[in-house]
Amino acid sequence: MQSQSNFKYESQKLGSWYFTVAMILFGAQLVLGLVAAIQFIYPSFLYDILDFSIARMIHINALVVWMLYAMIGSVYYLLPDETGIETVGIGIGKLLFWVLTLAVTVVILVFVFIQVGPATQATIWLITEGREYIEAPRWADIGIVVVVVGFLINTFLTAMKGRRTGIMTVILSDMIALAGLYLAGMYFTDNISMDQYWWWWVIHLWVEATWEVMVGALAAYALIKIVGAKREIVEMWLWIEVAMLFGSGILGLGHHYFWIGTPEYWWEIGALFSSLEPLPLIGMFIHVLYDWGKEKGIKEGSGEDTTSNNTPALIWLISNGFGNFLGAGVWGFFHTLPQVNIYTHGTQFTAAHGHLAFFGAYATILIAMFYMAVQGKYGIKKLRATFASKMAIFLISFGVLGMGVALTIAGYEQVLIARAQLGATWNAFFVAQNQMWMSQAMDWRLIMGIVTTVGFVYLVKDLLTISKNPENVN
Amino acid sequence: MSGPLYVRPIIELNDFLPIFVSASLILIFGAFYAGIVTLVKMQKLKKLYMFLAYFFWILQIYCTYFLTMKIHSQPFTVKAMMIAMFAYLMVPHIYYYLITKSEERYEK
Repeated sequence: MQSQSNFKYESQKLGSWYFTVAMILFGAQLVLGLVAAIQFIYPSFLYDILDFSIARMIHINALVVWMLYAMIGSVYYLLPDETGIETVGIGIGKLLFWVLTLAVTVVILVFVFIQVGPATQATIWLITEGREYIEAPRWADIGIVVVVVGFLINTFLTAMKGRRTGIMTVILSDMIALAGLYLAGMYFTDNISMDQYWWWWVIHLWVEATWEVMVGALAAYALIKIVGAKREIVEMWLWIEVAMLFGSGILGLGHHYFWIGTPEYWWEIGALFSSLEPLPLIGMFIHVLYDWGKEKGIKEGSGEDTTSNNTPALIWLISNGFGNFLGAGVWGFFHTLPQVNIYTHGTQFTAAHGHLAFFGAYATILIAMFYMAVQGKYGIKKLRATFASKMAIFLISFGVLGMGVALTIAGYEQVLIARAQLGATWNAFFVAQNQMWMSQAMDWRLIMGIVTTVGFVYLVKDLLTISKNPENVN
Repeated sequence: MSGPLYVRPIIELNDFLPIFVSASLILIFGAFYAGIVTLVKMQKLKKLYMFLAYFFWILQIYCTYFLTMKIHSQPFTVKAMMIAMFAYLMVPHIYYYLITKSEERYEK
């Protein structure tokens, strides 16, 4: 057994702290997701203790926050590798980690135990802002901004002092946009259309622009580290992907502006740029396969060992290429055009797309980063997949895909009955809710949620014990 | 008085499934097209298979046209989508041209 940390830099250690909290929040996301899924079937479950709206809110917020934690952790992890030096101001970085973690803990406890407050400023400041997906109260908002500014200063000073690679340049530019966009979610106005207009800048421009760029940069780094891909080639792909992601993703924002009271020209803008959004995802998918296959071919040709130096991370990376295309691309595209979206908007189609896209595009690559950190921590030259690694990837992927299919069936039923046949009335909503296709889909969603959670348990076990596997002991 | 309020495009009930399937197939055929071009470029497949790649691209065009008809797209949008499909035909070739040039420079 190897318990000694082999991290060369404190920054990598800090990255692993972020990963640890990310995993805990990932677990919280799944547990609250299960609670919400059970409440869909048995509405009296935890009645008056934990309302569905609260369970759903924490489920989604935990998702957003664990991914942000994992992204910040990834940047701290790769920073010394890319720049060749220790992160500047690492002590402040560690302090900010504890401040952020304390703040997140307090926010979650308030969400769970206080839940809601009166319609006053005090509620906005201390309990919840009430904006979907970013409900954190105002004090936490300000705290998050302070922590992120500190993080940005750390990374920028490090990059300026050390080596500047293409990957680092992309990450630094992306981090400014990612952090800056959060401010749009802090702007408050009484006009709900205007409020939604700015709020979407956070959610859409994060997940369909800045987060995707971050994924591209992490995939580039992982390809260099795991399969030994050539930096020049990988970085060239990265620049093309960044151009395509921003080119399509920024104005693809229009698909959220169809029905919130914005001018009609957003229909054309949203339709056109949303149609282009899958292109970089296809590019990223092909990119991963191309680099992996090419490097394998080169090694085969020279008689070298063709196995990657981190099999679990590589499997998750390939899943990322495929999952991003399927979840964000296919499931996004088929309900994004305004003519179709007017029927599908707010149905379970959106939930199906959300589950598949967040998992395929982000969870997969971030889990790959967790495995890279485990490899780095224990100094394992070749990290081989164990039974638990395989069970984790199989059960989580199968579970999420199953949830996606169940929710798609439910969404299709809602489109046909609640929207197309009965005209999207209040009554139509409940008629559709009571159909057999809906109730059975919700049963399957819960079953597949349990499968995903079992996969998560295997993942935790694997991350904690993979270094003890005899094959992985150097 | 102005004309009737345009609430939503009327899509036949039986058209929803073909719309969702054709929209998905646009991307799936598009991925097959790009994937086969990639495998040919990687020399995992013979050049002969480029025929199959173009076949998937044609299927993709058909699905795009089918979708635009089913959702009652404006004539301008249909034309824009067709032009986009021809642009997509070029995308993998531009990608691999750039890669080849980049690799040549890297080797030097």
